[in-house]
Amino acid sequence: MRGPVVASWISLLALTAVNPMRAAPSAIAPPMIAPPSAAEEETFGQSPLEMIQHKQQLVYMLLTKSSALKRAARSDNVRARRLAAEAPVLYARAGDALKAGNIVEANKLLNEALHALAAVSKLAPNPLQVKAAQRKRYAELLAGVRVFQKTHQVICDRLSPKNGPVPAVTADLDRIRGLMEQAQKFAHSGHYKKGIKRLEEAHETVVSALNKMLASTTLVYDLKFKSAAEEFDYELARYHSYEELIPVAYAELKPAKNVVTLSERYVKESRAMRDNAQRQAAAGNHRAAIKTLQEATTHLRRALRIAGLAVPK
Amino acid sequence: MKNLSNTLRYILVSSLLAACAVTQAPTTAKAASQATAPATAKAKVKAKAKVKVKAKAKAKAKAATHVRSAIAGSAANPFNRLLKPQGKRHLPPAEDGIHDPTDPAIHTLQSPRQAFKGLPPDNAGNQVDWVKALDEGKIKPRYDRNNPKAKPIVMDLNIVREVKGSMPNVVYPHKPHTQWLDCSNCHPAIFIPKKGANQISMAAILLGKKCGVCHGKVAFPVSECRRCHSQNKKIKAKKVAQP
Amino acid sequence: MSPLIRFALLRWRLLTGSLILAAVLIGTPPPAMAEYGDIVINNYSDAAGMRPAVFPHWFHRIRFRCKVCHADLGFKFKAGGDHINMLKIIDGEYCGACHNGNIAWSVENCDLCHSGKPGTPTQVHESTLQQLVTPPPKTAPAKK
Repeated sequence: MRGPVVASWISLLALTAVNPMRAAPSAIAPPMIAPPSAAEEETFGQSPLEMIQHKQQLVYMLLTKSSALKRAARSDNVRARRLAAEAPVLYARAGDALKAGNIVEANKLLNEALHALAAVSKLAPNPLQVKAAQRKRYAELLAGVRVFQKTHQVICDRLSPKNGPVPAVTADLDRIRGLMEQAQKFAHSGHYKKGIKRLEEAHETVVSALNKMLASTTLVYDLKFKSAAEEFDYELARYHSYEELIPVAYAELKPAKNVVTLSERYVKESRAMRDNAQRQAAAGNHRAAIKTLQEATTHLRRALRIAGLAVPK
Repeated sequence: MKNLSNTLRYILVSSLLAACAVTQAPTTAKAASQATAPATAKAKVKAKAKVKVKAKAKAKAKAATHVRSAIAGSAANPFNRLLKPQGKRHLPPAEDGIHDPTDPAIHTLQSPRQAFKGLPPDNAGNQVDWVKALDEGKIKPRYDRNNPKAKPIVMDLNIVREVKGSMPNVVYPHKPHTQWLDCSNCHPAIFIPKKGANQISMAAILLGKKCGVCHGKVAFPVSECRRCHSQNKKIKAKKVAQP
Repeated sequence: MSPLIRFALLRWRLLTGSLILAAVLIGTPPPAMAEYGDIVINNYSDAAGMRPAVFPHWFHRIRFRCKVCHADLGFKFKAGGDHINMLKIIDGEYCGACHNGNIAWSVENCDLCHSGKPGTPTQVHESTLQQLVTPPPKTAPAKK
């Protein structure tokens, strides 16, 4: 009577105690245990055979698509030519081993083929690719050095004594300018490598110059404005920075369509306010313009909040 | 009518049990064998027996809660999805939910727990204070891919950004950043090195822009306000209202 | 009440109880608890039938500073942003700059990188954005 009821309750409790989805393996769990996977989970490459087949596909893809092999076959480098000839042979032998059922041997041969291909790529690089990478690096360095040059100038002017900059600083600036000119000359004539080297030197010089001037100091970026017009410009920049975030928020947070519509409404209103503020500023009423613009920014923040971005206050 | 109320009681108790079981710590496979034993039901179900059983089940549930809180001394409130309970941090790849446990090489991959032993702890992100680890020499990451002895160009410059409102000002220290990063990583692509040239807002950071390019992805997340907003504002003292 | 009816009632109640349990237990999958900063890269892996690659930042930052990869090797600050494929790796770009047998193990160890759960989208695991986005509502579990 009571017995079977209790027994059924106990077995029910026992059922609750084990959740197969939650069976976390303990510290001494045997390896290679696969948890019961959900229906949508596929297991790729589980067996060694599948892994070898994937590797075989990879080597085949590299053999057919890599331009390095063709370049190596034509190159002057003896080793490159030898490896370029070896790689397809190794691949063929691996295929034979696989057909014969010898997975270990096939794996070894495929690995050797991959090594050969990597070495070939190193020995016979793509000249166009190298040039493109050099150009990119040169452009990056140039932008970086220019920006730091400007910063250096600004800081120099601020810290320098009344009767002109310190000679050491002038020497630094001249050196940087000289290096940049040399770099640009090299770049124009196509010698990007030399140009990059000059720019790297310039970069090091400008950074160490900045370091010397600013070491262990603190720069304060405060929000004090000399005039209402300046404050208005700042508020406008702030408005734009929030405006830029709106499409990013939609793309990343992926809100529902009706949410986007609601949020867009706020954005539209804020744009109208911004136009209003610009008109006020043009008329000379900067104080009112700043207030209107701040309201517009608040509207944008509301739009972001609606889209799902909860900013802690 | 009586049967209906009994049934409702039955459903209530069994869902209570289910709720307790779900939040319980994982148990061993031994119980599994017990579960498969078929529930043989005979009988006469007397109301008295049912009430007794219900009381027993409730007592069991209470006991389960006590056990759970005892185990969970180290586990944080599981409803706070941003804070992982201690037992669930730095799991080995086979258990971490992102790696495929059926991958043949899964057990060759190092467990984070093992790697983080001895590194100074932190309370956000990886739970490791990487800057401290570097300063104390516990890790020696290379500055150059090929040269283990290359030294970084460290810039020791603090930028204080005044913040609107009552939040403390942000102090940005170049030093720990330049120990890890190159100037070109941030300048000028993310930040222009000029006063007033960068508009940074919490919204931008949360969306992965500006500071959020790293903080909240790889560097410590912005859950700890004081780490950045560390310079209190000087507020003029007001006359205190007299009692 | 006759014993037969009582028996039938009990069986029915046990069934509903176990259904409730099943619904609760199956409906709560365990959350992923991988390490913060793990990057899953799945630009081309699913299409090629390979597991997506999982890049552990923590393992690499113990050995290299951010500059080495993000300034010297050209990695962007964006998951999947470099569109890395095996051809580029074999050519010594990106991952292949170190994973070439010299600085780190070489490319033949497919399963050490391609170790993610198939179908996992490209993501920065546990990033702020990932935690901000509310996951889409789950469909109700199928009743037996």
